[in-house]
Amino acid sequence: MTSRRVSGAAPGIVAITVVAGTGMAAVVATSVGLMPLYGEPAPSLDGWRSAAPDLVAGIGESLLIAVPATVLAALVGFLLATLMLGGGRAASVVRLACLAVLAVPHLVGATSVSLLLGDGGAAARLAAPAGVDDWPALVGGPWPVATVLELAWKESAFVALVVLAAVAPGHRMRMQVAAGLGARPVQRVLRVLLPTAAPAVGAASLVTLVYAIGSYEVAWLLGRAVPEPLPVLAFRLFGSIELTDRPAAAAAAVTGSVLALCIAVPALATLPRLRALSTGGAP
Amino acid sequence: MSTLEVRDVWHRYPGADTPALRGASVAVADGEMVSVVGPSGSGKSTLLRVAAGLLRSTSGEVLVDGRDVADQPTERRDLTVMFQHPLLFEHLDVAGNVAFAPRLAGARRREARRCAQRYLRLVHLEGMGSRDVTSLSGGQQQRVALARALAAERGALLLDEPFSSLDRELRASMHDLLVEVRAALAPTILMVTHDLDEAALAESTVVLIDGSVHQHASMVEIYRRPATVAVARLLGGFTEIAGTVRDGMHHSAWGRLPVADGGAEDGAAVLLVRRESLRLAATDSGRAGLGARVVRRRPTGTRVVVTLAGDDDSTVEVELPVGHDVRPGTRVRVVPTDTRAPQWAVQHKDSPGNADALPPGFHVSPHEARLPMEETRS
Repeated sequence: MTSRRVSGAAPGIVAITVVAGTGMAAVVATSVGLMPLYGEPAPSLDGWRSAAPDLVAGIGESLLIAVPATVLAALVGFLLATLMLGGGRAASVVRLACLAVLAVPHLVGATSVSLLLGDGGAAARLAAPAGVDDWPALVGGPWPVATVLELAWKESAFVALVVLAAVAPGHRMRMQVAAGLGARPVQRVLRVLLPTAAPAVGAASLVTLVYAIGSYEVAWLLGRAVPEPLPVLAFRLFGSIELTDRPAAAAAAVTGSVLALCIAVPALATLPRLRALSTGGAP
Repeated sequence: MSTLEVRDVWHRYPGADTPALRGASVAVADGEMVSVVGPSGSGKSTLLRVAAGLLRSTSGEVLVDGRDVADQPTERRDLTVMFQHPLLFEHLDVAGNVAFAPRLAGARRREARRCAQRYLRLVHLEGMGSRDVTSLSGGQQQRVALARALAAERGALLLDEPFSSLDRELRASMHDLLVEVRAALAPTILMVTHDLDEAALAESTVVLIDGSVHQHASMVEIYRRPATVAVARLLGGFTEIAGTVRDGMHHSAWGRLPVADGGAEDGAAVLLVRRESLRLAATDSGRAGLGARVVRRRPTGTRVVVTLAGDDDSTVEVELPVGHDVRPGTRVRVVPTDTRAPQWAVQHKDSPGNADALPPGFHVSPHEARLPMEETRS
């Protein structure tokens, strides 16, 4: 990176480093008893010990939500981007729909999904005349179906627009060249569009995955009570009237951050090679 | 390889007032190369896109080996297209790009790469198969694009201004390469270009103006005998002398000049004289020619182009050897180098888009239908 680029990016890097670094330092210090809400600071792993079973379960629950939501968002997002790249009226409608979905806050989306998929929700009422009396527990049930669907619904629009922005320049001509070389529509998608879009899909999916690991509101509203995903656990313990829960809350937050970093760092190292990995030297 | 024929193709872009193509027809024989030239907006690329199936024409036929493929998508037309920009697939290396079509056709990876090496050798890029395409120069990228198109081994190759993004030297080397490739493979080629030197690489050239074919001949013939004033203007370097042909002689303000056979019949006609076939004479020379005043002189290396204003308000350009001392404001007489040699004359030609010839769905305004396609400058 040239010195000019470094100096140009410096304000952003400094702001991110200061905010994230200070926050992480404070939450780590809190988790090991160095920043107690009352009393003298004393190094202690009590917060980690007390929350350990919940942290282990929370990691599993967080991944159970984040991974399928990300995979679904990537698939649907890529399909939406393909539709938009096709041009015409359908593309305009899809683009508008994606922008509208992005403008809706997750909390509003989650509320809507609960009204749609919950017991006595719109879907259950519509299904009842068709003989579906036993509506599955999609909201708050054993599997985080509604949570995954809400995250996938909203993040697929994000993935679609990122992929569109990355692939749209030159897309039409690339497809024409491929057609001229004998590629049928499916072959054009699989052998040209998909590998071309892979880095953008990968980057957008990584953002989605990290977001889904760290976001609490959707799982808080639509997920089951136990076990809680890490952000919901951290949110609940931070809001607890028991002030001694703060180190455990901080431990949940640190665990969530480390989990995200464990995925993001190797993924960021892999992304630049994603195109080569996707197809190799020959198609 | 195959034959390719585009027959009586009309096309109007949505919202456009006039058709982009007006009954254009081009035929390319097996192993032949035909170039299409024309000014910007003449419909050259539209014609090629219609042939390739990238654009659906309003009417007309596209025949590959005599089979009408107008309703077929591009991938089923047995044609391949090479554009002005190489548009290489960046997720593939050089050999991967060239092996793209063989792989689509079902060749195994190793076999396809072997095939790619063969074509890379043909375009002098042997040993570069594993290179990242983004690391190549513009000329090398275009060579890879040519190898990729050839490796598709389809019936005909359509080239859309393939070398126009390259500098003069690279373009010349690509022209040499094209000659080599033709000698080796004899592909059927339809090439659109605005470069007249490039067009001369083909056996014959189609001159497309305002969407209609004005002439289809060899470049030598086109330079020697442009079919219309518009073709002459496209080539440049002609002086147009308006007048009348009668008994094999052209009568105008320039006097009587003999007319070559095969051009204009008796009646109003434009005499087309190349500017290097004109010279300047003293006003009192008494020779057939045009009284004129020197407006400016422009050196062009070894020659000087002198612009003159004629007494009949026409503008004439004369090309003279460098060192010819003629000053602006001087009155002279412009005369053909040899007034006895027959000159080439053409008649005015009505717009080919006249209302009677229009296919269903087309409409040309009365003004357009009346307007002659070419107008003399005088």
